[in-house]
Amino acid sequence: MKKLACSYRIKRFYQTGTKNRYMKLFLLSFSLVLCLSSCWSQRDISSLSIVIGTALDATDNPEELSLTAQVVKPTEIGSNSGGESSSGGGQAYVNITQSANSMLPSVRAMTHSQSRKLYFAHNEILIFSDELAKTNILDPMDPFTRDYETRMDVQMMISRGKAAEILDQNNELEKLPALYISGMIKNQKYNSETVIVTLRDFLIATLSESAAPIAPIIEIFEEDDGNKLLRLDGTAVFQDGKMIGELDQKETKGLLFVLNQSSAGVNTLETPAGQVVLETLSTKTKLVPVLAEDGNIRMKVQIKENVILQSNETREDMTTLENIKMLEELLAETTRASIDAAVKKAHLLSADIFKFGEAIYIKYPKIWKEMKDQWDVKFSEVGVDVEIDTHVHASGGLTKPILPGGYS
Amino acid sequence: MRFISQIIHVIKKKQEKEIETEERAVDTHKNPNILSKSLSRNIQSVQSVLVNSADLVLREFSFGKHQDTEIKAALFFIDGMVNMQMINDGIIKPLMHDSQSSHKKGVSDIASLEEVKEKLLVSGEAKAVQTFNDIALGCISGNAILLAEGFDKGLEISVKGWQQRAVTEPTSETSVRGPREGFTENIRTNTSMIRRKIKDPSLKIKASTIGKRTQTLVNLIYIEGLANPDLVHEVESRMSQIDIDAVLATSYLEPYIEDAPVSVFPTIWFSEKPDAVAGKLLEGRVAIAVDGAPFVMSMPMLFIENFQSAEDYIKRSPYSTAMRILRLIAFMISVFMPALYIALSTYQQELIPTTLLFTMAASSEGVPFPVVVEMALMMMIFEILQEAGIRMPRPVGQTISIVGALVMGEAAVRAGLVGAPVVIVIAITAVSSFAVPFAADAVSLTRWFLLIMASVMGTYGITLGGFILLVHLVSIRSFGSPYLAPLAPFQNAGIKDSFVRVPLDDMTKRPQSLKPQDVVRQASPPSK
Repeated sequence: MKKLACSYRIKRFYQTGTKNRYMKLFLLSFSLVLCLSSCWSQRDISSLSIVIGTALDATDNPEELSLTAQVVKPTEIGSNSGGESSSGGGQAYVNITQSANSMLPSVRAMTHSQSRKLYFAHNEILIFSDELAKTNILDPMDPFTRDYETRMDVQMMISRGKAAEILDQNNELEKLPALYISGMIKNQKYNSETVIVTLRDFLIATLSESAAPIAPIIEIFEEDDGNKLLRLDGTAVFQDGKMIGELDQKETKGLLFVLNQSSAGVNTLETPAGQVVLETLSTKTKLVPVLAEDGNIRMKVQIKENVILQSNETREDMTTLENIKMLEELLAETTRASIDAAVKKAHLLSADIFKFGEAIYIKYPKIWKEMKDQWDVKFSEVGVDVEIDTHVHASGGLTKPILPGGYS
Repeated sequence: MRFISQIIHVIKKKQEKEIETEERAVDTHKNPNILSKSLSRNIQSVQSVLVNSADLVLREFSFGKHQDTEIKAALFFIDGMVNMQMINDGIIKPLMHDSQSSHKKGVSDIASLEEVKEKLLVSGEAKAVQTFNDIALGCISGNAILLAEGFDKGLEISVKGWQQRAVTEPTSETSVRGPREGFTENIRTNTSMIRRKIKDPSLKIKASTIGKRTQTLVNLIYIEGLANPDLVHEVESRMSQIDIDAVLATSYLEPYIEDAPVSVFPTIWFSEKPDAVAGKLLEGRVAIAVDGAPFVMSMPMLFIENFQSAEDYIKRSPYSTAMRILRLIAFMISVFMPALYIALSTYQQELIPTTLLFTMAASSEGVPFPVVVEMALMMMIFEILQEAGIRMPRPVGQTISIVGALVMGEAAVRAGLVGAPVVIVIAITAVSSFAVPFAADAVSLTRWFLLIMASVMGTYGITLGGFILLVHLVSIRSFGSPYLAPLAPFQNAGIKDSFVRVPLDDMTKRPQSLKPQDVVRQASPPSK
């Protein structure tokens, strides 16, 4: 009871007397602390130039590089823009180009000609021109990974030709080329023919003992009628901070299979009866390094591929057991062909784009220790065995082919 | 109607003691406060005590016989506080008419006023008074005072009757399916409404008068054997220490008995609904009713009570739970939203989704003020509008809302003075704060605090401000109960009626934080 009574004692806040004085002192010093910080690093949105795309090009001066930043003009984007009633129609972006010896100097150099500070936190894409990538990609990349404002999940790509021109390709759906490109990149998971690489992925691969960094290649593609389009085509392969080669689309497809990044896609098969299209539902790849008796390491690539019948352009019923088996074999063959092509190219470049080295390190760390110094040479000697297990799951809403006149 | 006599009873106790001691010391005839046998002198004295009271009525008449002479008498009362019919039928008629008629035997000779009280008066309550102080107090309490020639005592006859508001539906808390009655300004009506809800002889109502000048009747209500006696004692002792001039509403007492009078968060709960107060009493709380106030306070109050509504116990449990969580979200929105907007738009723009940033940038384009100033301005205008809307007469209030909505919402944005997102944030904040009406005052001040923190330090400031807020909430106690119970400290019986509201048959125990004497509310339900 006594304990209870004690807990009910009046405990009033801000009592008069000494406590009150402490409270006043606390409030005073607290308000002074607020003054000390003085809105440090405060900046209004209207004082920022929001950068959503960046392109880096080599210049005539080998010491300098040219940085092109795509800056948003917000009033042109907002359909219900508050301030002046700008009736759209204008370009929603401005590309600002500045040459300097590094990224930060060029960003700061832009303040000489711009009213607002460039703000990189919402940068979505980072394009390096192949010219720059072939000489040195690490130095211009460094500030983008080091600065706190830029993001590591920015989409990275290599351009054929000048990178700044890529950022100037308009699209009718998107008001901003950078968003068009980043949307295009995100779209690649439906075809599994282009690698999707963020700055972080690239950095990790660069820092790896064995792996060779890769990045998708983007180019301006001119149609027959003179209409210009952007297109993702193939993969750039790096070694020691330099672009050393390219994979084409077929090789990239094989690469994605081995990397276990092939998620969806279509496979067109030529059967004796005609064309059949299969859609990939899921693939799963396992890399199993095998130590052969002669002491050499072979890489076993186990692939499980689940597909559905998407289009049957033959007059035959593809749901019979024999036909399904035939389709599965044909599919395995095309997959194997793409992987073989990728392996061949990788061996040629002696660049471990498949991260074989890491698989070996995990399974045989001691052997890896011995061979890691000559991995550049050894990689080309690693034999690759591909095991493909394909499975056709369903044939869609139709089982039989569409036959004029029916089946009877 | 009995409550005034209770006042008198309390005052009298003191005075009787005084009189007893005085009588021993001084001769009765020389004390000017004590009635004499001369009616005219007594009348004069009463009139001098209640001088400048235009509503004092003196009715002189004569009745009965004492030693064969008619007794001259005087009746004092305050016009407007008495029931005239009761005076006519219960006092004047029996005295003037019945005392003359022959069939009333035994009143032919009236020797004392006791006889008048016992044999003639038709009144529920009457008692003798001896001092002019008592007479004055009786008059202003709404009683009639009968004085007669030759008697040094008066009779105080209860004839109270004045205009009062009927029991109506409460305006501050409306209920869809619950009881519709609300408290009135009459304390007896209020306590009777609580008694009707809890027909338990152990429901105790302790009376006291507080206020040197207003002499307001205050009742302490609790259930004996349920509420913790220490709690009752604590409330009583805090109330006994009150030294106040006037008590015109429940809130006059709050700062005297509250634990944290300067905190923005309320630590005393109040309601206009008898069923809500009965519910609090049945959980082991103590209630205080004040005469003249249509609200009844209950204590201790926990933070969670801001989110509870009487309607919750009437709706089905899953819905009530959802509503409580919704109120919590609304509370969070109304406290943090403007600060968060400021922090994101002036410090941490990288946290805004890219496309949203474009929209925000587009709307801030061409706006002349920094977004902090914009937000503070709009918040101030909102508070002004709200204040004006409440205080103005209802027809004018509508004009204010129209002007506010049109001028603020539409014209200001269109003129480019403020950005549309700021107006939207203010609107969402305002609507959300009304979802937690009890904490609306606390919320509005906390919002400003966090806004300042956010405008100076961004999201770090919000974290810091939120932390200060949390520390403050945790440190408050209301009559010995931790304010954040049953969340911190965690109490499993209380948690059943916090942000979740389990079905009533599962609430087998009363909240532990109140330390009730009778812990078990009801038997556990048979296993389903």
